[in-house]
Amino acid sequence: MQAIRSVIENFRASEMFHNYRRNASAVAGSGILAFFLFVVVFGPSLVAQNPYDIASLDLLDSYKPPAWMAGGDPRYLLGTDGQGRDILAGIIYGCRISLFIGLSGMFCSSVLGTLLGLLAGYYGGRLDSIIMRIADIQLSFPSMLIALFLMSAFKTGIDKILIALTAVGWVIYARTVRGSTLSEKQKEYVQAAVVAGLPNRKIILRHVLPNVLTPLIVVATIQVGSFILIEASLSFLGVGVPVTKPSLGLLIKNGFDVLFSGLWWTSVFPGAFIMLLVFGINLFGDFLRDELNPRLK
Amino acid sequence: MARPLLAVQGLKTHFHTFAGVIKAVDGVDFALGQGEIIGVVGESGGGKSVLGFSIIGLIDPPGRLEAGEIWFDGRRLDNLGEEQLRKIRGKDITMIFQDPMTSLNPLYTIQDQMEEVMKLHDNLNASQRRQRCIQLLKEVGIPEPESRLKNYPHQFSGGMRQRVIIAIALTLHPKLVIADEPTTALDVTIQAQILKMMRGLVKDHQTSLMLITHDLAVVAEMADTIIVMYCGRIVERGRNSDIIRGSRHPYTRGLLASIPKMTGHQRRLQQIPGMVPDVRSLPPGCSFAPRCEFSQDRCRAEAPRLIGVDAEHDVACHFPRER
Amino acid sequence: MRLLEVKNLEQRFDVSPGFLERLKFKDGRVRAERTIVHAVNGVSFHIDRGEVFGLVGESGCGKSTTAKTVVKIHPPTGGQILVKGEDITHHDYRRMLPIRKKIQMIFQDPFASLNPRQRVRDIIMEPMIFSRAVGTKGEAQDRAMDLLRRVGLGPEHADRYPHQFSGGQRQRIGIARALSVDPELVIADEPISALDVSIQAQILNLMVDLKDEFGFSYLFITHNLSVVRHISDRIGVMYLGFLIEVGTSQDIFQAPKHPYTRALLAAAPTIDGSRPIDPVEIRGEVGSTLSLPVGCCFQPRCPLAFGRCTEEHPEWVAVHPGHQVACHLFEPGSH
Repeated sequence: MQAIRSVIENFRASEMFHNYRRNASAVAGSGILAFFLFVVVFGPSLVAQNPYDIASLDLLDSYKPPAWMAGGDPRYLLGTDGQGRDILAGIIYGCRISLFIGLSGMFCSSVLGTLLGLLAGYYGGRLDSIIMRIADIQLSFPSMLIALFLMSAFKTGIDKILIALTAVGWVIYARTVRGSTLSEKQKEYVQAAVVAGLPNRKIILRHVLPNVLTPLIVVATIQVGSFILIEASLSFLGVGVPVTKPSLGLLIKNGFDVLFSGLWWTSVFPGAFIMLLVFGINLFGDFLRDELNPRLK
Repeated sequence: MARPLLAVQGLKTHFHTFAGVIKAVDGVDFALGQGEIIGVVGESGGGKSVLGFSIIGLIDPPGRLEAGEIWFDGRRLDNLGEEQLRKIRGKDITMIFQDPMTSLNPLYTIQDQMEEVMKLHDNLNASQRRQRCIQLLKEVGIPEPESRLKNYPHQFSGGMRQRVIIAIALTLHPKLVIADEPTTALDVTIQAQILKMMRGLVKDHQTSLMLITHDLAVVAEMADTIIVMYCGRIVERGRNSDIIRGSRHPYTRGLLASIPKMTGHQRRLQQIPGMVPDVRSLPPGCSFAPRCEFSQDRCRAEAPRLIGVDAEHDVACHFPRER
Repeated sequence: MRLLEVKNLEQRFDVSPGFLERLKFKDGRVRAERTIVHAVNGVSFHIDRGEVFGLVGESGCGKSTTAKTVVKIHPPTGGQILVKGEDITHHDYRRMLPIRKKIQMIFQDPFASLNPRQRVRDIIMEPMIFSRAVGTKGEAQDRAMDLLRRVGLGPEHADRYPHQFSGGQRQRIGIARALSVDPELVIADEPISALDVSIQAQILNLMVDLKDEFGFSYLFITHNLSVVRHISDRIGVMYLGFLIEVGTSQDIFQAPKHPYTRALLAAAPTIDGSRPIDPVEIRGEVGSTLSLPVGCCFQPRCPLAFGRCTEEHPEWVAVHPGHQVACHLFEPGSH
């Protein structure tokens, strides 16, 4: 308890917190993220309907406009889609899916990329060349292509999306970590560890790794946002999440077909939410990037 | 002395950071004549670099010149706007920085960089400029200057780069050159060459030199007058021989005594105990009192002011040591 | 049996760029050249128990690289290293482990030599634990606290992080770390160069006191002549990766023989204005270890160079027992 309190105290006294409070976009960004956190955790309990439960749907309620418009129904705040599913409920569940994909994709990419970056930077030589060449090759394949290939070979599924995202997402971590590793390796505390008798494995884990993580925080934050968007595009093309677990992107697609017949709410609201989410992530990521950049000090 | 070229009175430069006010320079007075070399000595946090930057007007927010006056050649500098300062910078007052590796722009030839100053302040034509460049490079001891004009900084060694930087500083015959640790990053043998060259240039052109360094030995060999700074204030000020051989302030004495000698034998060096205090929370009274073996109650209560203990020798100490 | 013996130590670094960048057109043919830094070229010296051996020279002379090669941070590309008679030159990680208890190192940069994410306590304990110098973690903790006190810090510092300390304090932590395994030889690589003048004296005194108390030897690397004179029993002078003169502190400072040593002494500014007896003024720039001069490494800058100097590298000559020079001027038969 004492430790937690001291961490919080240190944080509040720190320059970072001071800059945070004065930075409107940082506060806005984290406000948005807090909102989404709330939605994800408490959302489902606030909404009456579970949009995946087919039994609870009523086809007669289909394509109802948002509650404040003519013909709207106060039960469905943002209207309904073609199957009578509450848009708001769909969005709340969709947020969870989108965020889950964004975060897990980021997690898998970062673990794989960091590991490869550490090995490449620390050991150098052929291992480094091989890993970096694979990274270069990987970058020439847009994740779209990989996802399309995986989808056509197997069925759609969240795991396929994660594989596709990871296959492309690891590279930036590997590159960043490799650069930081090369730089930290020259530092004397690493040499001191050699002299102290540590084996390479321990040096990498105890000394190098903790010191190369900082730049990754920014990369990871921004990547969550970009993964959410990539997944949305994939879903839009029909090679994303399965229909049973719609993400925000798939919701947009579902409403796309009827967008131009005046039933705009089915696409626009999910679209607005994705925009807001990614915007919040980027605002906060910008703040982190400026704060954690030692050169600007 | 005859009207001094540079006179600084009561200068205070403070930095207003989120963690408090850093009084980097806190009440500094000194004067420098034409053709004179003044050594500004102190350790990190002493304020000597900030002093140099304050004079040439390179203090950026959150720092500002809080108080005091800077008189240069009969004009006040501290209240000038950026426009007017720019006319003086590079022409009448120039500055040399510590790191020769980063002081030059790696993307331009040295001829470009030398001519940049000329183009800003003078109206020589291209061929005159080129001649001036060659002449300057010769003066600072660069062999075969004609062939090196089109070289880039990375094609020069550290010592050579520092010579180029000095050449740039001297381009327009400035009256005052401020050198901030100009030889600290150089090897001893190169340092000796550079210092010898600088001494020669000062004599030949009657340029005044403000030499900022932590190296007492360098200052002992180069300076006519010396000021010793500690925590933003001058603790001792006087002629070279007075300071080096007859210092009266415990800090100056401590510094001199803690340097190993080249003659004789000592088992242990004399050391100044403790550490330089945090500039954000200086002790009341004399800043050096916590580390001073001679400090008494008065020292901790009242900050000492500079008083003359001899002709042209001032000490800021309530109990200056005997000679 | 000597504590440390270094014979003809060599260290070459291959800093060649990638294959494509190496291709050059030369002598009518396309070649892929390698760029080699000859950092240490045939350096030989020894250190006995309880003595301080100072290695002095300017930047690029190879003194730091020599130190780091001796302790196998960089494996040597030639020569031999013997620790108490044992040839450790080609020892792998496992065989080096017991040696790690005998030789430790203090580094130059107080900001880069401590892991910013490790607490002081763990920093000091680490060598003890990994080189198996102590039996239990409890012993390691006790010893760490004791060392902390011994270097002038307190138990309240043990749980803090490096960034909370000043440069001088960080060096003290580095010293405590090096002493944690009770070594017989401590290699100090420019330990005070990055510190303020008034702190340098403190740390130097501390290092001398600790040596007297625990009885270990130092290999003390520095570019500062007055410091090396103060602390060393014997001194080696290096230039461009070569050891060019070795002798006692008195030999080097009262009767320097090699022109480079004399030039070095002449160039150093002094507080008391004292000048060495036989000064030599050096000309030109420090050479490069990428392309060593032919013959003697110093001949391009030496005002006393003559014919032989451009032809072959000088052998060691003893001008005095214990005082050796690598210079053609001192060979029997030369002028």
